[in-house]
Amino acid sequence: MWEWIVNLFTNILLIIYKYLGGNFGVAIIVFTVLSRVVLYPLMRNQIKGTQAMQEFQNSKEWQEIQKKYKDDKEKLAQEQMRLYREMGINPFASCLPTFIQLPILFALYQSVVRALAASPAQLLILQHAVYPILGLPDIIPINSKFLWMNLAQPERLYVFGVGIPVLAILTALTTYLQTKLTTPPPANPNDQSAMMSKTMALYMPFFMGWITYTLASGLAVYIIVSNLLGIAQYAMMGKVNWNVLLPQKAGQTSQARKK
Amino acid sequence: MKTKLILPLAALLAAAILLGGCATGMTPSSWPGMTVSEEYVYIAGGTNVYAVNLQTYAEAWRFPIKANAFAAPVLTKDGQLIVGGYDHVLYSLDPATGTENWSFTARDRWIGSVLVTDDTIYAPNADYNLYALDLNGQPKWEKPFEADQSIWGTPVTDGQNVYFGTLGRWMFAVSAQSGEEVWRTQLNGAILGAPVLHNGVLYVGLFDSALVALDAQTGDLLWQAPLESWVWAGPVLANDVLYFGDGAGNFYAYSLDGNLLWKQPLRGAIVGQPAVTAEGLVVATDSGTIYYLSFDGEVLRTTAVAGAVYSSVVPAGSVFLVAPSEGESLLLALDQNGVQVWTFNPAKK
Repeated sequence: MWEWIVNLFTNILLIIYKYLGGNFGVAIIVFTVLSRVVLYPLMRNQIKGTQAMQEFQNSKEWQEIQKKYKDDKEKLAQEQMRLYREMGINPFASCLPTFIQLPILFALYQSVVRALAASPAQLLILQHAVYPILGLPDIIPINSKFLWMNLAQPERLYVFGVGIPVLAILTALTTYLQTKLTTPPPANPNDQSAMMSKTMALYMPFFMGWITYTLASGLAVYIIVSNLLGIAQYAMMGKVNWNVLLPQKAGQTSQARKK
Repeated sequence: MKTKLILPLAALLAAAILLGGCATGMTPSSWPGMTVSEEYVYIAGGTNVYAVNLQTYAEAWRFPIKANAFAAPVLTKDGQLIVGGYDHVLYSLDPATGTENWSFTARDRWIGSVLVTDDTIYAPNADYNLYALDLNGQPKWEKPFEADQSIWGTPVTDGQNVYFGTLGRWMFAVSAQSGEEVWRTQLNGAILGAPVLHNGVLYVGLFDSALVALDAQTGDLLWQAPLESWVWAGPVLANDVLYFGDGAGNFYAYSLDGNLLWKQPLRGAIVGQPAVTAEGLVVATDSGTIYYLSFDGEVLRTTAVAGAVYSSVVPAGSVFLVAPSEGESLLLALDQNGVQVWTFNPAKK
């Protein structure tokens, strides 16, 4: 099954590459747009789920239950599940799309490396993976150069002999921005899920920056474009909290998303 | 607080391990390459280059490579062993001890073996360059010759020019002395293996399912033979006949003027070159079957080995050496009857 998915992604990338000018960077960008379009319904559900969860957190009933059962965690959990049912909330709705993104990320990484076939064994694997209709001998070698990058290798932009990991920096930056702009402010900052979100928001940019620092730069192109598209999709739905980018006065909170 | 941090950090760690696993699984790789001297077989098979004594079948030494090495090592007349790695480094080793003499670093992997003449090492690299080095590892040309694409196959020379093909489907001739381009000819398919040069004609196998012959002086196409599938390693010339296999498992014999003499379908793709013996040819396929063929294409006998065989079959005295991929042994020695005489498995260190 996994091989089937990787092969499918590989063939989609190569079809785009073949018919859109023989540029693998462009192929990755178009693939990212397509994957975002396909995953759009899931993302919409994620936004709805996040909104519903926020309403739940703000509800008086939940706050009273928390006070009432603050010393009985088992009862609190039971009441929380009951309230979820009553309000029609699926607690996993907001994180499902994120979990779906991860396998796509892994499969895409393997597909990029497979399609670029930078070694004899990879070319052998590729010729087994490519659909005959594509005509592999016609498109070999795949041009792995895009702007200043070799998409099969980790990226560095050399300035005066110093290799700067531009894509890794952009990945970390866009990951941070996406999280910051699209995560609603928590009703209760001391809530466990809010703490967890805060921790993830803090570490995720470093994690994404690190993987793009060490792995093929084709993956970084996907992540950066995906992050920017994610922000754009949220913006089109009016769900981006641009205020977080502005310097805030003491005591002021960003409430734009609560409208 | 600590428990609240553990879950997200564990999720990130799991993702890192998964991606790391992907990266490991996708490590650029190839299949072992080997060469034989009177005393040793030298095999580049992953993270080490090994010297195996042909009398005792024991490891004499090993030389670790940071990334991987798969190109067949090459011996020079002045007693060096030249081998390139995926760490971008070309090493000169002492064939007796495995100690490093010198190294030369390029910008990409060394996938093809080098060509060594009396005083020059012609080294093809995946960074699109052909490097010419003296036997001390110093560049001989003003600058390396930059081709259009990666060079995976070993060049050939007639002393005047050096000839090689690229993944970009170009065949090049450059001056052996200066590295200046003499001619270039575009072909229909990528060139992965080494050409054969004989009497002023270059014979080249293409990934686009063809064997072509070019005039070595001008680069003009002399003839082209369409095949059923891709050709990986270049043909082998013996008794004025070109022998080679294709990806569909066909083994061919072609005359030097481009006529098909015979074709023998075998089981499994043929990636490496055959070994030529007095009796006939020994051919390995990715099905793990070793075929002994007569010069007329008759299958004399077969033997099966564990793993797929992509490497060329290398004769070593009275035996043939086979290096299967994903098999039980790194190296197998088969006799003329296909009987396994000895194996080599590197000890874990």
